Amino acid sequence: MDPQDHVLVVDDDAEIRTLLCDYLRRNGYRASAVADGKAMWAALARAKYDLIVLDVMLPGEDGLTLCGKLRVESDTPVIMLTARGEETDRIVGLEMGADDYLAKPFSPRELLARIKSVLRRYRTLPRNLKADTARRVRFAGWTLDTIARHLVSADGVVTPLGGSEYQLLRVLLSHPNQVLTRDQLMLLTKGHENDPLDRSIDLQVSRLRHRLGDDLADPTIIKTVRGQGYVLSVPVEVEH
Amino acid sequence: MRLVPTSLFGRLVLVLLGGLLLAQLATAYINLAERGQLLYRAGGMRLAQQIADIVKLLDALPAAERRKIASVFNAPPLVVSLDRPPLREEGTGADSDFPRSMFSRVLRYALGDDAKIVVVHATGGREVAGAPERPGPPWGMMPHRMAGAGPPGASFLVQVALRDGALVTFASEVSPQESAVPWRVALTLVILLATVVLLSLIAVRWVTGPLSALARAAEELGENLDHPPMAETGPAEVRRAAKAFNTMQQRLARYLSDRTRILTAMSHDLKTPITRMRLRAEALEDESLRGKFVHDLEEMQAMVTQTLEFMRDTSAAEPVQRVDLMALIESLRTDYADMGKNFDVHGACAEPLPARPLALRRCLANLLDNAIRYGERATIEIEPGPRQLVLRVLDEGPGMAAEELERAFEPFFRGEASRSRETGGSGLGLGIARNIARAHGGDLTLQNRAGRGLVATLTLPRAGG
Repeated sequence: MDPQDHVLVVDDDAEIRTLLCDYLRRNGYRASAVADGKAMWAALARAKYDLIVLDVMLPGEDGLTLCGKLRVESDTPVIMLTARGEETDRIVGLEMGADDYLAKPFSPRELLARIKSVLRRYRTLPRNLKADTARRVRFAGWTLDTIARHLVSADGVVTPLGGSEYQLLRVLLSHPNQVLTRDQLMLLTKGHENDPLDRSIDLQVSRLRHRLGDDLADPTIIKTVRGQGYVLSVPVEVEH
Repeated sequence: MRLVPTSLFGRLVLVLLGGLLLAQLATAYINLAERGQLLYRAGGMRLAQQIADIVKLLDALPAAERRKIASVFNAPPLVVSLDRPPLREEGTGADSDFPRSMFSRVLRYALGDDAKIVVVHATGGREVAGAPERPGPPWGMMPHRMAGAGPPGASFLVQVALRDGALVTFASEVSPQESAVPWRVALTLVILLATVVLLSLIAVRWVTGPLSALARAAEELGENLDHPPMAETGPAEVRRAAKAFNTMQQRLARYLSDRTRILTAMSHDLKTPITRMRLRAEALEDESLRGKFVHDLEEMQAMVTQTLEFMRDTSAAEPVQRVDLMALIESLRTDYADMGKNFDVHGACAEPLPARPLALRRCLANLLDNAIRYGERATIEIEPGPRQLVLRVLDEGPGMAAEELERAFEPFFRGEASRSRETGGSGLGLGIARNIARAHGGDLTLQNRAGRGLVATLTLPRAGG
């Protein structure tokens, strides 16, 4: 971990600002805090930050709007603190270009882990500046609903997905026809690197194939690239 | 079979029809009786005139010739006889005997007040008994025939004393065919009744229609307080009822939304202090004290989250879709496996189920959480019936006291097993699960298993929401 990583906290509660900065500093980060969007822009103009922890509920412009505006000019990673923790809130947060979200009240240790994994992901992988704002993704006769987080078959039957299955599918769908290694898949879905002995990605891929009705012996949707990883090899149509 | 119909519609029709029928019958009876009296009077008048004429004629004849003349007049319906013994006057039962008194009055008028006249009913027992004494051909036949004819062709015996004291007796009846109910009257009655039946059916339908609408609205209100208001149309009483109903619905909705808002706001506002406390707890040096703080705070946090979930309207937000139930259970199994928890599944349901996928998932997850938390091992049993699907979540825990089984659905209820153990949980999970089941038109109940453990039975309709 780089001890010099500088985190900017944007929250309207003064005590949380102080407590959070203290906590981050105790855990080896440089930390600054501001109360609202205006102050955030001012802070960003003065200094460079490695990561922003952004509360959704802010006076003036709310966190979602700020995140959307921020994405236009910067790729600084953002972790949103959502007040409601409701499905739509967190999905909108991700759509506005946030790298991760955390529902309040959060566990400080969990926040620390997320900061760590978002920073690593940001530094390891080439990132797409454009926010992933897909509402529905169509492929191979299926439609992935990114708000409800489930698949809908061609004849309209809802097929729910487990959390890890959804994450994996989402990653594969955002990189169609692009070979992703097990390490990359692990990092993109779980936020940490693959243990060489860990076969969980293989297990998840085979579960996902089963779910998609893909032939396990001769898969056509998610193909195995020997010695490299996996590739989603069907056309993908994105609806925003 | 019950005599009184259960529906208001049936009862109103019964009362209306019964009343109308009664009124019609009474009217018909009165009309016919009046008509009968008129006929009697007219017929009686003619007969009295005829008798008076014969009496005058016989009076003028010598006794020897009377018999010859009498035989000339002796032709049905009027029988004339000169051999009858004197008749005894009947008691004058005035009103009840209207035709007879009427008849004798007319006769007396025709013959003069000093004439000796006796009029009796030919149907009276006395007269029939007296007949066989002189079995002449006319007499043998007459009382018998007249007794047999009976009313309405009421018949009389009239005995008049001639000037020389001889008695002449007439037997007659007022022609019965004249007083029969004519078919025209009957037809009118039938048409009238049919019309009234039809109109009353329409009228009753009209009156009870809004009542059914009101009942329907009340039923729908139970499922959804934000149901669109009733149409305030129709007659004044119906409009008033609909208006009162809509006002009640508004008040209920406002009351509920106030309560919801207060609880939601409280739960939301608790989030900030809990967040602060969690951060403060991290600053504690004492490891075990910190652990206890974190545990307490996590419990508070779970309560807040569950309360917000409980308050959220599960039915309105999510549309009903066809859901692959087995995929839903499989996705739960994946998630639980990721958390190191496992459960078994028995049975299957191949047909997609109409449901709200996220809500149904939450419902099942709450049941599984309980089964794993209190019951050690969880098993799902699926039984797809033709009309509804039965899904059981079984565990192998201690079960619950019989009186706690229903109370377990109340918000924040904690069972004995839950209180005595450090199991956590908010006390809202089952309530949320039941709300979801009912919003789907199904239900959720708890029972103790025969051996050990608890079974949560979720029923979901297979067609429609």
